[in-house]
Amino acid sequence: MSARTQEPSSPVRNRRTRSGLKRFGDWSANEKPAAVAIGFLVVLSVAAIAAPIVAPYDPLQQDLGAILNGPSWSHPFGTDELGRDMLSRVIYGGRISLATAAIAVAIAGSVGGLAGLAAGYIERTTGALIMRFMDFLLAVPGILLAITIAAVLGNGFWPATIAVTVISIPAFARLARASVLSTKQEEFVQSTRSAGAGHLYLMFRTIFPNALSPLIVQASVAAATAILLEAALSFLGLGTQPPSPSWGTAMALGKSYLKQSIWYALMPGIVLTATVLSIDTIGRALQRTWGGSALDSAAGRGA
Amino acid sequence: MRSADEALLRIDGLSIEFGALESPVKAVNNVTLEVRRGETLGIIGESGSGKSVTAMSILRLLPKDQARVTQGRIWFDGNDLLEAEPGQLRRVRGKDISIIFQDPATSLHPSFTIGAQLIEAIRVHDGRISKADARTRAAELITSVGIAHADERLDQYPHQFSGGMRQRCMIAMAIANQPSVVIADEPTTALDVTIQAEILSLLRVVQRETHSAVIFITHDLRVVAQVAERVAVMYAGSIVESGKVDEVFENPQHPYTSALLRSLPALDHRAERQVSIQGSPPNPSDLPPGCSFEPRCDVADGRSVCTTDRPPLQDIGGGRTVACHFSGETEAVAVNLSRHSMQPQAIAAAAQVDIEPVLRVENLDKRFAIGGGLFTGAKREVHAVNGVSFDVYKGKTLALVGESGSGKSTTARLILRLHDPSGGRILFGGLDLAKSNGRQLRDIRREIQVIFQDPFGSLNPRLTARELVTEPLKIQGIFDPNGPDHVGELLSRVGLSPSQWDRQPAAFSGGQRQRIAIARALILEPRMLVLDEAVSALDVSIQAQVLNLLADLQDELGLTYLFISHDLAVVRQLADSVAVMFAGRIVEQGVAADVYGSARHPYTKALLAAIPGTDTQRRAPGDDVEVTEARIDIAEHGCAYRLRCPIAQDVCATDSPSFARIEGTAHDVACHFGAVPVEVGAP
Repeated sequence: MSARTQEPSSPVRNRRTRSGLKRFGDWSANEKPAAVAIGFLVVLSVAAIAAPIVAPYDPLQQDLGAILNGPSWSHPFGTDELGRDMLSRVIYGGRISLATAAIAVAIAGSVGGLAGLAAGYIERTTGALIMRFMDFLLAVPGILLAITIAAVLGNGFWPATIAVTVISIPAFARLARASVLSTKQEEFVQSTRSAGAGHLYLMFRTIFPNALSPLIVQASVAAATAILLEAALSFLGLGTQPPSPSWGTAMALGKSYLKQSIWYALMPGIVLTATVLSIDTIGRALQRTWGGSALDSAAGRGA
Repeated sequence: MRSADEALLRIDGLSIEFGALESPVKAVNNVTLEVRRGETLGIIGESGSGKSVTAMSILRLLPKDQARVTQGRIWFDGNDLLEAEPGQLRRVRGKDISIIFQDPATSLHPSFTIGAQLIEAIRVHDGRISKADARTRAAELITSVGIAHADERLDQYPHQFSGGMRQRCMIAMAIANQPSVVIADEPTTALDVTIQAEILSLLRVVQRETHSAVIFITHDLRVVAQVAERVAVMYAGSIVESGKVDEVFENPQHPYTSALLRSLPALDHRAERQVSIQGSPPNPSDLPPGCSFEPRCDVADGRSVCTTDRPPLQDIGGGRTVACHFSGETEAVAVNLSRHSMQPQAIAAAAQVDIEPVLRVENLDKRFAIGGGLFTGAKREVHAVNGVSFDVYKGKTLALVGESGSGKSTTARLILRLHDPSGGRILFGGLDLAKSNGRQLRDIRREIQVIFQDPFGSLNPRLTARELVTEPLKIQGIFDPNGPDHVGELLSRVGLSPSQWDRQPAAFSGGQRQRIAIARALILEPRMLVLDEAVSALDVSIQAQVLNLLADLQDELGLTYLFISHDLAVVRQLADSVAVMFAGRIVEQGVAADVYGSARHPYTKALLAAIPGTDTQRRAPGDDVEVTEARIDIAEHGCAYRLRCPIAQDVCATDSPSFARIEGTAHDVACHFGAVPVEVGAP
């Protein structure tokens, strides 16, 4: 469509001329579900960080007079088999889920991203070695690898988080490599090279920023997976140990009491699902935003 | 039934919009066209003029969810195609009206054989024909488009054909059902100039035989001059002028047509300055209320009627129409299409002989290894650059000319050391670049800068114009934020106003991006610029602006240019000397006027003769063209060109010709029979 090739100033294009806040406002007007999702995650994160202030009860405080209650005004999420307030336990549990997701994505993203950048830029032997190692990680089923790591390092928050991180690395590495390989061929990289730029400059200043957008989308996918995986490990008894509150353990224990109170397992499940869906929605919206601009420049080039 | 004069296809008041309803992009505005049996109608326009959108709408090929036809009708065979039922439309598509697309590399299905695709095209509209008969018909078809060994060729896949051959297959497919209208959308734009000449004459033969009407869409004025009888000029979605090609080109009535023709680079001489059209085409989502061309027009001269009233398309007699309030004032042009006055200027060479060259390339060699991996088959070598030598002198321009695959771009990349040479020397500033590394190479890179072809890919999309121009200074560690604003000066010098400096490349048009690329290359104050097809992706009017800018900068700063191009007309305007490359070797080099005026190598002559629209190629009434057979291109032994060469003899198959100086000139040619002058234009 040659009509689209030379229009210099459509509103999305003049990014630099407007403030970040205004741009975010425009973006969320276009991506309403994502705006709602961001809102939910902000509320959840604030609650998790400020748990001691926000939570109505101590998550470990037992009340044997009110066990396995359904939702009520005093206990909006009900209570568990020891009469502990589920809302407080879900809020505290959010700390674990969100921390696992944040740590796993941050570490796996930087390790995998750098490995992929190196593998894509250097290609030859180094690149091949890095990628074969990633293939090896990818070949071992994730949950099995996590169980192995938990078996070696013991149960608890850190072993589970390390396991989740290790599992998330290969996806970042492969994506980063593919993105770097295609960006490397662009003429602006050659142009910067002929301006005298060295390898490090080309890798980190020229190629990486332009190869980044698929990784940011991948980060949202990885965050959702990390939360699920941590919950699964806790559910299997390999993650956070009772009495510490966690969404996974809550669901694991709650399933034994499904007949007495469906709310016990259901409420943490709903929060978990909502969190994962929110992250996923944001990821899709980001993909549309960045994928769209990539399409634009491709269409321009086709002219 | 129908008389010959009656229109076969008629587009009536067509308007098409894209994008959101509240801010539509008006791609086509009130276009009326008709084409008669046996006639070729050329639609010409720059990118974004709506020419392709108009053509696609005829077969309703525009994406339904994006394009809206807001008014108009397309009459074909008594029906309005815009109202046609899906079944009816399917019968028309491919049977009555067929399309040839621009890029033969992507318009054939890669995983079916050519035969299967042709047979399908035949049988889908004629259910009764047997497979065997359809195959016989397919073989006839590809023979008729000049492909030999039809039976074998039918069983091959598109990737086994060269670009020109694929386009021949596309044409065979388009005429398989003897359509009454063939739409050709830039059918030769992706092809080399000699292949383009073959395809254009093939289209003529095919049209003569099938007596179909052809709608030929192109941005290339020379091509239109060659193939079309009538032409419609489009600008910003509207037709601004139409009429018989000869009349429109000799006596244009619309200022845009006139300016477009004048901005076409001449072949017969080097102009002092290129005529360019100021500014760039309007944004189709924000057209001016009056005449769309008014902001760039030199006839309008600020008269209010041009800014307030859109001029209607008026019939001015003789089958011509024009949309201009003051068409009588349009400047007459002597069209640059002829080249009778190409005179050799052998004397000019003498001056530069004893000056030290800025760049001297000696026996440059590059072999690429293909395959040799575990799964990629046997290792082969491609000899991309084979013993290339030339000198470039200070303040002068050397052009490397050749078709795709000739090794001209690889040569440029070797000089920039984006590839490592396999052999030879690149002498620049007392150093051999072929052997330099690390620090030395980084310093020398300041001195040689490059501008690439693709203005959409050659700028980092994340940086602003100012950052892009500043970046080389930072890389070289010589950026001084408190010093005088050289970056700003340079951006102004290449024609960008300060309000644009903080925008990213996406906010600029192709010509503006190329200006940024030029500023970026010049900020390090290099001695030499390598221009790798630097203006090839730009529209004619913009191309002229950039050529002027390059010429001015060369005069002011004493720059030396190495200009890589396939476009002989552009080379004529910029180059002092020319080196013609074929299959990795230079086959002819010398002063531009000599090479153009008295070409000695048969390949150079073929290149010059293949330029469309020149006297030798002009369409004469009743002329007789034959289908030329598609050729194998490059010979492995002896002279690489001998398989295509009209004067090849036995010696060409055994001995590779060496360079010979033509007596009394600085004009070298690598041909066994090249030292003898041959009449220009001889076969």
